[in-house]
Amino acid sequence: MPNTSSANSKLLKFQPNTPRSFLERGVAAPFTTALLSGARLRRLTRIAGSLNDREVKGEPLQGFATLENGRPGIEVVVPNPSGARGVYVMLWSDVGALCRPTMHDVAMCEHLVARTNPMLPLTPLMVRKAARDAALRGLAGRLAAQAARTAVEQEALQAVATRRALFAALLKQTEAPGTSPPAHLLSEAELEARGKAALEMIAQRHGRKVQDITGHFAAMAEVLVDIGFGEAKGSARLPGVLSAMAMLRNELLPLGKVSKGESFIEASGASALQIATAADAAISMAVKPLAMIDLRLRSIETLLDEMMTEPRLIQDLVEQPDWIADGWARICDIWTLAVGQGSHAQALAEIHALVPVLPDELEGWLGLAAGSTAEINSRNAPVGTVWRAEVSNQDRVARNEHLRAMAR
Amino acid sequence: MAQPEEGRGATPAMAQTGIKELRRDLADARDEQIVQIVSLVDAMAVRGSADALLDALRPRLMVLRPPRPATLGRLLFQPLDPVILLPQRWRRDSLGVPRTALGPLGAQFSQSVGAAAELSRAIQGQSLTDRAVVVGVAVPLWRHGAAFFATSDMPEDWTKLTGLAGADYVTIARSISVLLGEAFEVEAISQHVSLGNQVPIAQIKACIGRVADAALSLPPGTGARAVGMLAVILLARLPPSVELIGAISDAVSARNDRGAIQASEQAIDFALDAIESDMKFVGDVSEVAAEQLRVAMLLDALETPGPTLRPSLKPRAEKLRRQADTACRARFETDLVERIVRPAEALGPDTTDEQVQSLEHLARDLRRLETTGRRLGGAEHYERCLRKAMESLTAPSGDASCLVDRARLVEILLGSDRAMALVGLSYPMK
Repeated sequence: MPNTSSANSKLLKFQPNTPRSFLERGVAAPFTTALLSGARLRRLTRIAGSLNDREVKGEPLQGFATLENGRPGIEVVVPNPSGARGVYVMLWSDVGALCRPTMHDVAMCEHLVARTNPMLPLTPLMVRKAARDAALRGLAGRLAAQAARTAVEQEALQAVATRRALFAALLKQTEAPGTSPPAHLLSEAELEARGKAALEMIAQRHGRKVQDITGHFAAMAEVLVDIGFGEAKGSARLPGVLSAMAMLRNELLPLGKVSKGESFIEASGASALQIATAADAAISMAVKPLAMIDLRLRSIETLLDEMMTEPRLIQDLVEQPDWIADGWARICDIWTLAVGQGSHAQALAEIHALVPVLPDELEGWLGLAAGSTAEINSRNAPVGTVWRAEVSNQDRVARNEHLRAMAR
Repeated sequence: MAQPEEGRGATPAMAQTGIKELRRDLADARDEQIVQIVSLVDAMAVRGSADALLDALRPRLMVLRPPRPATLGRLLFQPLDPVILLPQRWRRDSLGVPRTALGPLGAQFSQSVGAAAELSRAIQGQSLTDRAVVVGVAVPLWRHGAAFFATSDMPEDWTKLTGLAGADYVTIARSISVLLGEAFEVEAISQHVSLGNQVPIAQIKACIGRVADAALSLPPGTGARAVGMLAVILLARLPPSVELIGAISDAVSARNDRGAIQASEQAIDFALDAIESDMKFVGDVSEVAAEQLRVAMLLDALETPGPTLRPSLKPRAEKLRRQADTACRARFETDLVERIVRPAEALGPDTTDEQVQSLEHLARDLRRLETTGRRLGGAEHYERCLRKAMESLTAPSGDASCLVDRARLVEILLGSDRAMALVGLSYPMK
């Protein structure tokens, strides 16, 4: 890494890591570049806390700003390399002044700059797609490419399963009891036909156009792929992440109780406990919107009708747990990898610095008391947990690529 | 009772000619055969003379490091690894423990210490490499060991089993006691440093101070040797930096104990002896790179002007640096051309994922070797080699289906800025 003390200091801005919103916190991006490990991405805005106006030109675009060259600006939020509190923020286009980003990271960010709608904020889904695109090109190695191909295939299967589960639930909710044969015995075509008939009936009952109701149903099915529904829940991505978080919590809790003199990793005991506590809090927060979605889906008919006036109703709800869990999948994978390699202490030091900070916005989402997220954050904040392991950049890139090969 | 040759340990008698023949045959055995033999011997309930087979293989085992099952003896003496010597290398005045002593000492401990059976059961079936499992047993075990060997008596069959003199028992057992007493602290320091933290100078000095204090109650000469052995262990377990050598030197100088000062200087000689006798450039590139990094660090430290610089060491250090530099260059160039560039030129549609991963793995290892090599003797040679490699890897004649694979090799060896053009990417480096 070149000297960052003089000219480059203009490119970097140190900030306390106290985001008000999830957009300000940014999306965890699976960077493979050593210096960018654990960094987040967000669109450049003029909001307080954003980098600066140095390269911002013209009026913000829906709150987001473009650079002098007219391209959408993207900021990288890098965890404090010392492992202590605070983050460094820099423009993606300035990263080259600090390090040489890997081909994978260049392709991922280029996808976000050039192939996403600059009017929309970056979301975890967008970043996952961009990263997957880079991995599919083989830029993080063949194992990561294979993992990306598998993820694409699984997602397609998941989409079919989710749509089928939704149709089955719709029929159960709308058809008279005893209608035969029951939904789970129907072929794909029969289920589709009876499902469409049910949607037509709903449209008629609520005085809506059939294509509107059908369109909302399709959108709902697409949105639900990530969290799954009915029988498709067990194989969905987000419940898998939450399970991994629960497993991490269960593995870390005992380490947090190791007393002095009993183990070489005693110094990490406090970190283990804090990470476990943070994982637990994130899980319990993520399941709240999931429960809300389940509740809504007990009457798909009502939900479809509500979506006529609030088209993003279900999407907004689905995005909440995704934002809450954002960053945890990587933490879980780092731990899994470290357990396999016997490097627990190093992993604890690293992931403690990566525990996602909860923004104030979450209090509004979940109806929490004002100041409760700040309290959780202060309980879990790493205090001077130094992470400067003797790992070369080369090894760190290899490790990060290994994580890409584990990506869900 | 026959006394062993003065000033030198002796191996226990091995009568079986069959074993001797086997040992000769094993000299030419392949690595995988060695690993298999070790695994078979480890699985034997009663090893008897099979152990003698392993003695012949020890130098290669140090390189191969096959997974070994955890036994009480292995775990008990693990903190002493850096000072355990093959019997033929052990001298009565050396800072080491002859390997032949470990079996009888371990057996004596197991038979005499009540907690041994329970600790032994706790690690049954586990591997020594599984630190999470053995770590809970190691700490109490070392404490029991430190207490036991502080006052233990020589077993009757000591000389018969070890070929060592009776007086050697007290020297070896008491040194082991003192070192096991600090084993947890050394392990904790090592873990702390492995997290990337600075070498904790104060803790190291305190550790040496405690050993020096304990040494005062030991027979003449034994205490100073224990201090020297601790220095050898610290130099082996931690990055052998100027700071570490300075801390050792400061700690012993502060005691004003001539014997301990000499022993700490002897520890440096011990480390250089180990480099001289074990300098390896065959086998796995990553291990060669890791070993040469330690060599480079130690030589840098010894050649740095300051209190750690002993003029008498300079010619020896310079000679070792030249040897290491030459060997590093040769190994790098050969492997780069023969094991990266040529196979990369042959990449095609039939190339498997495993083949590509193996190439990338090797390329990363070579980068490590290059980093160390530059430290030993400058960058020019490596840059020249890499420029040539770049020409081959980016040649348009290569198979287009493996363009990304070649680009990744370029990325690993030369950096992403040179690789991106191959796959149609660009990024403004500043």
